[in-house]
Amino acid sequence: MNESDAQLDPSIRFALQSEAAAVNDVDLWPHVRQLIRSTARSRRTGHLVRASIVALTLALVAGTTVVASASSGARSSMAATAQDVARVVGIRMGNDGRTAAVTPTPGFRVLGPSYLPAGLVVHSVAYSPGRAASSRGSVTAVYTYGPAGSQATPDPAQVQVVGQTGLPTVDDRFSSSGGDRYVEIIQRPLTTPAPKPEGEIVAVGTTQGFLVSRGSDTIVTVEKSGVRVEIVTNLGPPVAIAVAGSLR
Amino acid sequence: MGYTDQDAGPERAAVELMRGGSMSGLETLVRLHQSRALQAAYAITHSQTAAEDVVADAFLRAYERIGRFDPSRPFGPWFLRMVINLSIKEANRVAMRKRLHVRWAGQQPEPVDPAHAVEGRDEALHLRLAVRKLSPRLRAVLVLHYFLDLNVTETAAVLDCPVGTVKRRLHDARQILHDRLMRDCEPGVVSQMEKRV
Repeated sequence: MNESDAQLDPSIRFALQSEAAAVNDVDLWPHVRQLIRSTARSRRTGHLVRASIVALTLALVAGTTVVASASSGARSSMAATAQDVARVVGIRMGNDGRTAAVTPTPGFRVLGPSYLPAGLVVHSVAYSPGRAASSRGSVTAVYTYGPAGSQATPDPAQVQVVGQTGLPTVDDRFSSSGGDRYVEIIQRPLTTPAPKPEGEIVAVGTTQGFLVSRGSDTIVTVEKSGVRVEIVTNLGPPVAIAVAGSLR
Repeated sequence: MGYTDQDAGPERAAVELMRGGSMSGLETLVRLHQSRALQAAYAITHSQTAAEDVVADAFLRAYERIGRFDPSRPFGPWFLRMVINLSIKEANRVAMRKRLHVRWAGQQPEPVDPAHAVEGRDEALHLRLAVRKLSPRLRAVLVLHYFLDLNVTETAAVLDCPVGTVKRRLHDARQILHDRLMRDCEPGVVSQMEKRV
């Protein structure tokens, strides 16, 4: 190090300290915790997909073997069953923990909220491709999250919600850590003719929605991009309308 | 603001907890190291958002790779290595995007901020701006050596390169800064700085 280097050193140190002091000291723990949970979810999805592929392969091999050795009447029935088994129903989650894509495609663009009340995180996602996609009845994929370390189990009520109309249905549930506050977003394709939703007309952004109260729940129904969306929440009409308005 | 010897006990306990898969261990380590890590990341990326993302990502990696960590050693340098390397990567990514944007859009590089031009008479600000113009790799070596007070051997360990490389980068960075100051500052400013130090 020459003399000029030595003279510059304290100034460099001072400049870097001034530079570093410009950063806002924030608590990163919530960010880190969310990141770890999202990553764990993505990995679980990966495991789920791999497990589905293994199960599917085994089912196809078994189905093909049985069909090959059965009578012609039984063959067509078994082939239809094998075809249904061959349908992979899945949900792919984005890094932010929200639904990124569903398989098979539902025939409509799945919307997601750009606004959610603070403290709400993804609790579970359920998807049914509908009866049209499966002649043997509704096939449903459910992806459920629980608090870290706890056992995640599908909610039968949610399975019922996505299977009740026979239409492709995506149901995203967001809740607080205690589960006492929640927002549920149910999406189905707009049918023709579409029955008019019940409730009083409210403004949702530049469009109109229909608001109805059931017990402690508020339900707002809106139609966007060929999708009928129901927002169900126990956080009151303003939250339901704000979430509906933020769907993209 | 920074990590002290008094933190060694809680740190060791936290590392043990994290090795057992506990999130509470990680939380302790985040609280102990986030402040200094954020500052180091910011000094390299010059972006609050990028610094937060980089440090959060480094904690995620630490959580995932804690099995490879030797618990008899301090957690800080091991973790810092991830922060610095991710910061360099992020700064390179941003620099590349800026270059591509300029090329595709046929735009000129960003004009000098008038506020900086006015305040540019201040030598410290001149030096800060000159440091910002260094490549992320050179900035990183300055941050490790001058801001985090690591010696060249420790800096080389963090950057995973030979000591000679660190010395050369330090020399190059100093030379570039000196040349820029000589070129950009009024003659009096550099001599004032030299007098001050």
